[in-house]
Amino acid sequence: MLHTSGTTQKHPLDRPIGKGKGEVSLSAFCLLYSELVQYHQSRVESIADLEMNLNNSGVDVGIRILELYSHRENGKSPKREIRVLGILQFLATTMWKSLFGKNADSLEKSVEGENEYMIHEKDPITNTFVSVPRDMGAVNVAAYIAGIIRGVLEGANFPCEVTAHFVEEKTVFLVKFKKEVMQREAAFEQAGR
Amino acid sequence: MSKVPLSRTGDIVWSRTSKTNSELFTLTYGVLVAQLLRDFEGVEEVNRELRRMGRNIGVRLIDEYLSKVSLASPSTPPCTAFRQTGDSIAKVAFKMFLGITCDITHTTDKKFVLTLTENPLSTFVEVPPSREGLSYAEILNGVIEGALGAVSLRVKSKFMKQIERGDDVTEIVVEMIERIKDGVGEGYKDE
Repeated sequence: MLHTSGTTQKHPLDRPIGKGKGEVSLSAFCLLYSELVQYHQSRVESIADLEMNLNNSGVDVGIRILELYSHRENGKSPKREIRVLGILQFLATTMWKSLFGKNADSLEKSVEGENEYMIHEKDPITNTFVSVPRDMGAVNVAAYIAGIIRGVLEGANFPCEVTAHFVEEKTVFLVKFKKEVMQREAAFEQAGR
Repeated sequence: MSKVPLSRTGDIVWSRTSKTNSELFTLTYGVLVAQLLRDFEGVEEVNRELRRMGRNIGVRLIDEYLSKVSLASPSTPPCTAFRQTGDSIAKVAFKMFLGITCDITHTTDKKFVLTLTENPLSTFVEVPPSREGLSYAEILNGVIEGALGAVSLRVKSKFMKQIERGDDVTEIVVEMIERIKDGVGEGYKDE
């Protein structure tokens, strides 16, 4: 069923995708996000499950963000990121800037694992008006953003796990790529690409 | 006392508000609706849940509305008639939270229709035929009812038209049911 005939509104696929500059108030977003968190919270037993649910919700957003931005940023000659650093840079700059109005505070390679990268963010938007109750310990509702990151990465075929952690009041998103990503990366390295 | 037009008040408050990307907002709402559709049996239950969430938001949002508006335009008197309430929602509230304005038609003294040419909640959305009864942006009705309920107005808000279902505009009909009487709530009577 396509409802296009006779109306001024076109089908979503026929509308221009816009420049992505539309804005709503921060409080509108935070109130909405709070409902999402409360909803998940009412349906889980543990904090780990809450974070996992938020993370999964974020993935659905990330996949769509990647699709939208790939169309928008590259115009007529879409480019597909195939290297780890390329896609991470896209995340920490292009995507971060559009979604959160600024670049990520830093992007670092972990010293602990070959496949681990960290994105630092001082004030993730999801945590703006959030104070974590004592009995909920280390829950970080930026798990949702971790999910968005994972959605973008997996959408671009970089299977990984992403988690959000508090480190000295800041939030660190830890990206752990799966083995096959690192093998592919090594193959690119050898082929000299 | 000079009278500031409401749309001007809306612009002032909007210019002072911290903002965020509307696509993040749209997609977050989409995730929420999708989650509810997975968790609940029928679309009616999903509508009810969205409306309940909206009410939660409404009762908190009205505080921000009242404080910011009184700062931006101290000369604006409190609404004394339901017509003024409607105008304030259309010209100030929608602007300050969603960045859009809407047209308003007063059908009677106790009923008005808000017309939105765009809806940030449903930018990329088409409701599929298999979810026929889903009122996608139902949360908006809850917000309006919740917010007005907090200022002693019991209203009924519902959609007449919805862009995401193929209409050319979104229309929300808001009807006043009664003015809630002041007084001590049931729970406090013993104290």
